Amino acid sequence: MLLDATILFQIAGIGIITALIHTVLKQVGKEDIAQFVSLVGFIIVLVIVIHHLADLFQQIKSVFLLKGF
Amino acid sequence: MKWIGALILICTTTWIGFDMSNRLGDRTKQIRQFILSLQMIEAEVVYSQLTLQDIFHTVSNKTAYPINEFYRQMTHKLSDVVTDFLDVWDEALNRLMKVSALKKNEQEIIKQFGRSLGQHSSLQQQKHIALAIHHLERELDEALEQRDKYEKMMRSLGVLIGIFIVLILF
Amino acid sequence: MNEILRILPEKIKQAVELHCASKWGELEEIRLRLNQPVELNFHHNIEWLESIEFSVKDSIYVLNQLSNHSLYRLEDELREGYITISGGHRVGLAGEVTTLEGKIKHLQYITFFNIRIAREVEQIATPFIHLLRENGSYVNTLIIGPPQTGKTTLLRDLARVISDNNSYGPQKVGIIDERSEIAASVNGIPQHNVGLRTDVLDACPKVAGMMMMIRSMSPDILIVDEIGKQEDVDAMMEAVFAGVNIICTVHGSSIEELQKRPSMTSLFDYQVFKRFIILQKDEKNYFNIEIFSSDNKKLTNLVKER
Repeated sequence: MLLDATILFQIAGIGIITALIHTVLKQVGKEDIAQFVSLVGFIIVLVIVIHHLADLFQQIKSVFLLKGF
Repeated sequence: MKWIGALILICTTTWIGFDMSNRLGDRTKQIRQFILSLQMIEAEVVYSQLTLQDIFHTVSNKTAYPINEFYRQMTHKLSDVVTDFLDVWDEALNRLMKVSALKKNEQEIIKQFGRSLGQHSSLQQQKHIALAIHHLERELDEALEQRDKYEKMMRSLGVLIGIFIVLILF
Repeated sequence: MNEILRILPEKIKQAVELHCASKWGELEEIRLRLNQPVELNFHHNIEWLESIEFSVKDSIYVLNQLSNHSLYRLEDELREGYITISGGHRVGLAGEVTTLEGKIKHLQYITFFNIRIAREVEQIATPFIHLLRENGSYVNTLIIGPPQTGKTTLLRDLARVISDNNSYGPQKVGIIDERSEIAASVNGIPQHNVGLRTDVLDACPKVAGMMMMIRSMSPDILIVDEIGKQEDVDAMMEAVFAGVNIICTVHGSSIEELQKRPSMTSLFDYQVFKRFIILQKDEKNYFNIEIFSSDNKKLTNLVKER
């Protein structure tokens, strides 16, 4: 599930778009807004990753719980 | 279904981006048109001695939308008995602001100019017209600067933000 | 009267209408003064609109109505001090003047308005028009009188009669209306009836106007108001030598008094005028006319109600 293609595309897409917006804004001179947008993009990616990591840990926990006695 | 929604979203943000970009271009065009109209008024005042109503009529035929609409409204309103010229001017100006890309600064300049119309000798009238043109040219410079800086940015941002939101939501 | 009421601010208009309801015919002037009550001048008395005060806003309103919101058009009028509106009424202006090199440049602050109501008076000249002819044509006539005796009104009617008159055939008449009083033109269109065969040069200086009219419109008769200066007289002589007849007015009280005036001597030496019409000062609503021929024969005596 972690390696589900959709999530990968999502994260990659957000990363690319954030980079592009950052560049456009930087070109216009609004560096501060550009940094802010990058930050937002990063946080969103982080949230998605953590969300899926939580799922992963749940899975690992359930595997160990089954295996462990 | 999802794809259609996504497409609609991207089209919407793109359209908004393009619209904002066009407004910048429109603002410069409209300020130029208004300056042109003021120069026409000046020529008429100095050389032809026509009444304001006739001058507005001439100008409305030689300018582009939405400036010509403004002068057309003024021509029409002046054919009745006018108690307060300024009321008529301000009303037409408010309507112009709604349909044009002009901003508050231009509105103030045009409003002030209206107060000087037809109240002075032709020499003083010329001075008032020259002053208004000077102010508007300053605004034109600013508008051109804004357009050059942000025109492309608005369009790209429109598209990018659309894709961004789609990616987050789906 | 509508042309006059149109230029008044609403509350003054209503008050004037109320006040003059029955006596429009007697109203001669409406005077507006800043921060003062409105004055109404009738034939026989003066009345005031006590309750109404003429404010700054009102004066701006009046100016806008007079100029159609286009004050820049009235520069010449402001310099002269009066505006003629449709109907032939004259609005006199006073206030603060700006000068340039000793001459009036502009009437800057207009705080006094005098609206003079024009009334058509016709058929004054008809009874004696035949007396102004000799050998089948009209002769040069001089109208003499003190101010306010009706010289201009008489001149206007003479123009009309000569231009329209059919018993002697209508003649070509040219009016040089330097102060826009004879024909009271607005935008070149006479507001008074001055005759079918009449051409008018409005607001044109007499001296230049006479020769211009002769060259361009080939009049039979020239009508000029208030000659006095030597240059006016010289221009008139030129016109006479060109074979055009002249009817004009002059301020004065009698032929003898005029003969003593230096600028008029050439006119009497050359015996330019064959007829003299003397207007006397009378009660305000009568014309008192005496007509003399050049050999001092009194031809008639007329008293006519206005």
